Order: sequence, then structure tokens, then C-alpha cells
Amino acid sequence: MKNIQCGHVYSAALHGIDGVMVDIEVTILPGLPGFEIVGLGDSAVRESRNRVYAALRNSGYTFPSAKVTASYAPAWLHKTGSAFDLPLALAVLVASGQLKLPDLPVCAFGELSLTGEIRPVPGLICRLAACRERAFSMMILPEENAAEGSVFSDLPLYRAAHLSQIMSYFSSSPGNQKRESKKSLTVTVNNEKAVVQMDNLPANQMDRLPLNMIDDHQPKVSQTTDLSQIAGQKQAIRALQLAAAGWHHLLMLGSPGCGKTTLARTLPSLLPPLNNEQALLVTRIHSAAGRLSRQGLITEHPFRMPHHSISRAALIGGGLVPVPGEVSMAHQGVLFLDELTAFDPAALDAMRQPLEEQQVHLYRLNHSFVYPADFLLIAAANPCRCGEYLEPDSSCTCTPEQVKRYLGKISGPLLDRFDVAIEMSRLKPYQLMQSVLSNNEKSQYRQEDVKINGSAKTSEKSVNNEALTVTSAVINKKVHACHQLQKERSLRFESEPRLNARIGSDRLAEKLDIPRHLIRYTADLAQHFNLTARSYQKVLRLARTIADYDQYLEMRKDHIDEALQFRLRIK
Amino acid sequence: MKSEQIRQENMIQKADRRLKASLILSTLRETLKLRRSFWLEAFNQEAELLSFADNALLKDPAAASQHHLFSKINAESKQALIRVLRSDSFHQKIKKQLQVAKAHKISAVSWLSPSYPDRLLHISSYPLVLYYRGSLSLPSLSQMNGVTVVGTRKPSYYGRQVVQKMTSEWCDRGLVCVSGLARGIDGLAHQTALEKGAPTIAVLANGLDVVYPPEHLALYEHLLTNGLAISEHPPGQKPLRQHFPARNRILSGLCQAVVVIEAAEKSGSLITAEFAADQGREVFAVPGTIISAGSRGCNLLIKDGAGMLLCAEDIYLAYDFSETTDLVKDKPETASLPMKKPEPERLSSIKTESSFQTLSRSMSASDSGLSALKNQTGSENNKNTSHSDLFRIKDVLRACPLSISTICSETGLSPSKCAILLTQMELSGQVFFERGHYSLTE
Repeated sequence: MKNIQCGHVYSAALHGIDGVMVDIEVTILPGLPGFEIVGLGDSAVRESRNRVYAALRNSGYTFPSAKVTASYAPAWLHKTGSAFDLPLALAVLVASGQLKLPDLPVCAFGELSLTGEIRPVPGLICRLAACRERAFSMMILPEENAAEGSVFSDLPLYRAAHLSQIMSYFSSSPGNQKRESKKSLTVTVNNEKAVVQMDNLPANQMDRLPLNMIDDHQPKVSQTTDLSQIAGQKQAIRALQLAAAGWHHLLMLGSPGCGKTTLARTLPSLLPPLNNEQALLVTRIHSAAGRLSRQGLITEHPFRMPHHSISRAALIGGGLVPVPGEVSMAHQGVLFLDELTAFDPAALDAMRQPLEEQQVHLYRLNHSFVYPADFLLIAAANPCRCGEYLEPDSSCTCTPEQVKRYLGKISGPLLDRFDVAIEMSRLKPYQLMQSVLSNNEKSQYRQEDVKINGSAKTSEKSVNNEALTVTSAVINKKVHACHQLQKERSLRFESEPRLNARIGSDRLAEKLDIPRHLIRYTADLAQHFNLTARSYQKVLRLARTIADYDQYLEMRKDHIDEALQFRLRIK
Repeated sequence: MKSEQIRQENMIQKADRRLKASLILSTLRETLKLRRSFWLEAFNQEAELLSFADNALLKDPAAASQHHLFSKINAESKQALIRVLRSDSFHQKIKKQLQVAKAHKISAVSWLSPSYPDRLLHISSYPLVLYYRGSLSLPSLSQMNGVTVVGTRKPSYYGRQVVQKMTSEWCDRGLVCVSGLARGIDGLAHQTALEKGAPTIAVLANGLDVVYPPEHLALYEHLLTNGLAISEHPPGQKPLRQHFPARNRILSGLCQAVVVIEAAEKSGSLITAEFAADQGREVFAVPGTIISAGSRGCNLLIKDGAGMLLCAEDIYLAYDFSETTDLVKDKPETASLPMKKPEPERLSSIKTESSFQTLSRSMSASDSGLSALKNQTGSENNKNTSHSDLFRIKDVLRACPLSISTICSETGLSPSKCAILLTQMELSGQVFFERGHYSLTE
């Protein structure tokens, strides 16, 4: 057979949050110089040709002047993005004989700059996941994606910052120490010549990812406040703990400045770290959205706080290339909507499907994407336009119709989804003091105040003890224990572990282990308080969470009574 | 027989003429900008007004201009008057209003009519025309012992309780409650009276075919079967903002005493109280808590010298109960009215036991069955401690309404414990929840 000049490098395309393996084949045929790419690439893929040509030439290699044809297989799959630049360049180099790769297949990912630098790609971890099935001898990643890739510590991952590093790696095989790469490169920028020193590049050579890369990433510097710093608002704190413990959606209503946002921000500190499976999925979603930025595995629950001017597409996902929306970015995490009434009603309405099914369907012409969206929804709103409806002095200047109209902006079905609702009012003066004092001073003021109020002496002690024990770390542990308990119980009936708020409503009493007499008791109360069927189930779930959180095996009437406090009473 | 029929016919005719005259008067007053005194001086007797009205309708300005009233106005106004009387739009409007009035069984009198309530004539700017509809006769307004009940449109639980309690007792005693059919205290006063089967009177700031506020449609219809609705505005008139203070003068003018149940500092009910004072009526107010702003108006009234109402009986000082207080049921004046109205029955719709209490009794029954189960589960809350906790909560709630968080802070109990106890107390009726805060019920 005649000598076929061809090069074969593998890569992977990003399809939603999944990767699909792609073969990149390059062959050089005699004919007029040309460079064609086939395989249903989009504009970025077409522009690849220019980038690869420039990168190869500027790095000191020659671009074959013959008919170069590249094919991305499978031919029927639409390929998007610039991640194929690097594998294409490598394939061209192989085909033209400038590079000799080992016999076992190699895969690479990376965008190329015009000078041959390798740029990061979105969704790397998703692409790597797709390439796992095949045994590759090497998987080459951009330097900036290295932390992300290090999640898969069992794969042969290599990082490179420049095309020449790869070339020099292969040319400096044992026995051949001579490095042919140029030491410097002259680049003309704005008519000024600038010299880029190759040696100054981050790593002199492409190197294997060190195994301890996984611990390299910085833990997220959280802006979260600790729970012990919050003054007053005891009921709200309790509600927050229960929301975290059972994954119940929480609605906070209150006048401006009463602490809704501050409270919501403490939530990340209350949630235990993600397990491996959850962490991988969360990382994949963030990576596919291009929001991973040099980070490795995400191990904390995401906390997303979109501004209320967010559009529908940004909230649930979409756009030309379906990018995951905030609800998917908040998967396994918290989605905090501050000023709920200011959000676009169309956007809020679109949240119904993710709230119901814990996933989002995005439909496009040829295919559809399904992104996971199991998040904890926390919302804060004022009860009326002036915000004072819940303050005790009836200083509210709104008529009852105005109040109704204001809350009516949050659609009924959305309001119905909240499992826990609390009404908050402003702090009293002594509570305001506590919010800025240190712990020692706090206890001093608290005692004084208790004396003023004339309560019994015993209450002092209990209050002090309580305050000192309520810190985020303590709650974190309790929440973690509660999660474990719920998951174990759910595994008896369901195929995968679920928290109380997500258990299917079929045979709820059995699944939540609620005694018959309490079911009847709650039903009576439901009639008295005019609860809907959904509210009734919510009360049962919440009561079970209360029991679990307070570590009761058997549910009691007290738990139902407490759960009833959290129903929404302003309509 | 025949004379009876003839008498009936005459009455119906008279009522018709009165209605027409009133409508014409209302329309003329609206279109022409003549002084009120002009109209008062123009007619000395009802017959004069009625004949003027008849002539006006005949489209005969010559005949109408014979009327001596024309001599009292200047040429300009005279021209204007003739122009209006000739115009088609005027006659069409009258015709339309007449139709509406007939359809809704609205009647009307002028100030000259003998049926016009006496007490109302004593106020400084009494309405020249009174429209009315309902099942009572207008003359009975002169004989009744009535009390005007006014208050805020956003009453608190306290205000609601007070108005219901007092109105109920007054109706038993035979006082007729007069109010404005507004949201809040007014509506509750009417409702309580009607539930007891007692008649009640509503004074509106709009035409009697218009229902404002819309939520009171059912209440209004009920009121018409056992009571009277009156207004100085012709049918079709919508409730405009400036009509309300004016309406209040009628509210206070109809009765010997005005009671303000719950009013904030800038409430409209205070305007009614002021009118009452000017008209020489008695003003009473019910005091309220000084912490919330809801009762500040009432408290200020008392400070300024209004009578303090602490119980329903306090108001009887203002009344003389010697004369009979039965109200005359109206005989149908127009043939379209149904012939007979049933006697009002005391509705026994008032529950003797609140629903809370029944539920708590049933719960305690199930509780006793559960006690065995509870003991099985081990450490149960000691009944004694939960009792003392309950008292602690009640203690702090005595001062003022509190939110759960504040109750926790004040009593030192955990939010969980507070929530449990408060739910139980809510079920047994000991506390109620409003606008984010708990208060004790009394």
C-alpha cells in the first residue's frame, strides 16, 4: 500500500453536561494547498483552521503545503467549540511526520492561541468522563484545567501550557536529549517586536499531573456568617436548620432590614460536605457552564444568589448552546432568591418544572438536554409594599388589597411549593446591641435584659447555654447526622437515598414511619386550618424532619404541632 | 275596599311624583350652579315642588316660568334654567334615572316632605333630597332610637370583638344600628345586627343601585330585606372620595348618639364624631391599647371629652326608652314590590360553642387514648413543666402582641417548645395569630 500520511488523535465534545468521544483524523493528500475540516463543526471549529495554522507556524513547525483534510468522527454529531484545536494540531503534526506519538492512542483537549499557547476549555471534566472507557496512553490537558482533571486520579493525565512543550516532550525521549525547540520566539505586536521567552513559560515541559493535585485546590473562601453571630430571630434560625436538615424550601417574609439576607447567607456553613458522587456531578455542571476557573473538585454545596433582574433563560438554562441555568448550578446546593417579588414572573413560573421534577428539560431542534436541578430554594420577600405589615405597631400604610396584590405577584403555585414559611419582624433594641457585640459582652447584656423583663432566674441559664451552643459547626454536625438518618430510612423503600422533602407522596406514612394516630390528628387539624392536600403532606414531612433533627425515633404530637407553625399564614 | 284601593293608588302616585321631583332637583343642582339657599327659598311647601316638577317634565318652559321662583333669580340664571329644562339630555337623563330607580325600587323624598326624618332637619346642611330603599318606612327613622356606629376600615381582633359584642346587645335592647356599610367596623355592625334579626340602616355615599365596597354585596342585599339604605345621591352616582365626609354628617345626624369603636389618629370616623359634636349629639368612644396606633383616635376623643364606653349599657344614658321602639315595616308603595315581607326571626346562627373548643375537646379525648402510648416512648415532657411554660408564654403576651421569635427571647424557651405550645393554645382558642404576631384572646 502506498504511504498514507495521516494522524489520529482523540478528543471529546461537550453535549450539555455530558461528553462524547470524538476521533480526529488528519490526512495529507497531494494537490493544491488547502485545509478542510469535515464533520459538522460549528463556526468555532471552522475557525480552528486559522488558529492551528498560525500556532504551528509561530511555534516553528511547518504546515504541510498540500491538501490537508481533517475529519471529526462520528460524522453525524454536531461538534461545537474550540477544544479540538490542540488535537487537530497534533494530528497535523503527526500526519506531516513532525511528531511521532506512541502506538497507543492519545487524546488531547485545548484551544490554541495564535502563538501556540494552550487555552483552557469548558466542561473538561465531562469530556474526560466520556473518554474513560477507552484506554489511552496519554491524555493531554491545558494547564489551567489541570486541577479539574485531577479529579480522575487514575487516568494518565498530562498538562501542557504550550504546543512546543508537547513537542519537546516527545522529541526528548530517553536517548535523545537534544531539544530542538526554539528558545525564543519573536512576535510582532502593534509594530513593536516583543520577544517571548519559551523558558519563562510556567512548566518547561509537559509533565504528568502530580497525584497530590487533588489537595492543591484552595477551599472556597466563604463569606458566610456564623450562626452564633445572628441576634434574636430564634424562630427563623430554627426554620433554617430544619430547611437544611430535610431539604425543605423556605420562605422568609419580613420588613426590610430584619435579617433575611444575613440569615440566608449562613446556610452554606450549615450544610455538610458533598459525597464523591454528588461532588462529581456538581463539578461537571459547573465545568460545562464554564464556571470552574482553575478549581478542582467542588466539595461544598453551591450557593447561588441570582439578582432579581435575571432572565428566564439564565435562571433555568438555555441560550444558543444550552448552558446550565442557575437552578442547575445550584444542584445539590442552595438557590437564594432575595426580593422574590421583584423577579420576572415568567422566570419564576419557569421554575415550576425544576421544583417539581428536580430536573430541567431544554429542547432544541434536533435534540434535548436534561440537566439535574435538585436544589434547596430559599426566598426572602417583604410582606407588602411598605414592608411593615408584620410589624406589631400596625404602622403599615397599605390597604388590605394592596397587601394581597403585592403577595399576589408571587404566583399561587409557587407559594405553594414552600414547605416552611416564617414571618420575621425587626429586632428589639437589646437584640440590635447583641448583633454587634462579642460573646462575653453579649451574655452580660442578656442577663440584664432578662432581669428587666422580670422573668424567672432559671431562664437566664438556659438562654446563655443555648446561645453558646448554637454555632454553625454544631448545627453542621446535627444536619449531617439528620441527613444520614433520612437516607438510611429512605433506602428501605426507594432505589436511591432521598431526604424527607423529596420522598414521593405515595405511601408517605409508611415511608416516613408516621404512626396512624398522628396521621388522623393531622388530618383533623388540616380541616381546622383549611390546609390543602399538599400542605397536609408538607406538615407530615416537616414533622418527620423535626423528629429526626431532634433525634426522636418515634414521631410525636409535639412534632406535628411545631410543624404547623411553619405554614404560610399571609395569603 | 274601593276607598282602600283608591288610597293605595293615590299613595303610589304621590310617591311617583316625589321621586320625579327629587330626581329633577338632584339633576338641576348638579347642572346649574345655584346656591343651596336659592332652592330652600324657592319652595315653601311640597306641593309647590311637585307642581314645578310636573311642569318641568312637560317640556313647557312657559308654564314652568310662571312659577314664582323665576322671579327670584337673575336673568342669566333664568336663561340657564330654561335652557336646561328645554334640553333633550336633561329629559333623557331623568327618564333613565327613573327607570333605574323603578328597577331597584328606590324611592325619594325632599326636605319638604312629611316623611323626611325630623332629626335630620336639625343639622346645619341637611340634604335636600333623600333617596331610600329597603324594607323599613322612612317616617320610622324619626321615631326610632338609633345609634350610629363608626370605626376603622382595618380593625384589629379587639375592635372586631367589641363591635360584635356591643351591637349584639344594643339590638337586643331595641336600639337600631346605623352605619356606613364600609369595610371593617361598619360592615361588622350591620352584619351582627342582621344576624340577630334586627333591622339596621346604612347611609351610603353613592347611588343606591351601586354597591361599594364590592365585598359587601351580599350584606347589602340582606340589609335591604331587613333595614333601610339611604343616600343623598341619585341612582347611578359612583362613590367619589369627596362624598364620604359629607355622608358622615348624615350618619351622625340621624341618631342621638355616635359611637366610635376603633379609630386611628387620622381616621374618617373622627370626622363623623366631629359632626356629631357640632350637631349636639352625644359622642362615645371605646378606649384601646395605647401601644398600638390602632386606637389612638378613640383615646384622643375620650381625652377631649367624649363619653367613655366600657360596656354596652354605658350608652343607654343617652336614650329615653319610654316610648315604643318598634319600627314600622314599610307598606309597598309601588305595585312592583312583593306584597308581604316575613317577620324577622331571631336567627340562631350564633354558635354557642366556638369551633376551637369543640376541636380541643375532641383532641383531649384522643390524648387520653394516647397517654398509654406516650408512656411507652419513654421520656415524655412532664405535664407540670409544660404547664408552667404555658403560663410563662401567657404572661409575656399580656403586655402586647409578640412574634414567636420575641416570645422565645422573652421567655427563654426554645423556639421548638414555643411553637408547640402556641399551636396548642391557638387550637384551644387562648391565643390568635395576626400579622405575624400572637395575642391573647380574652
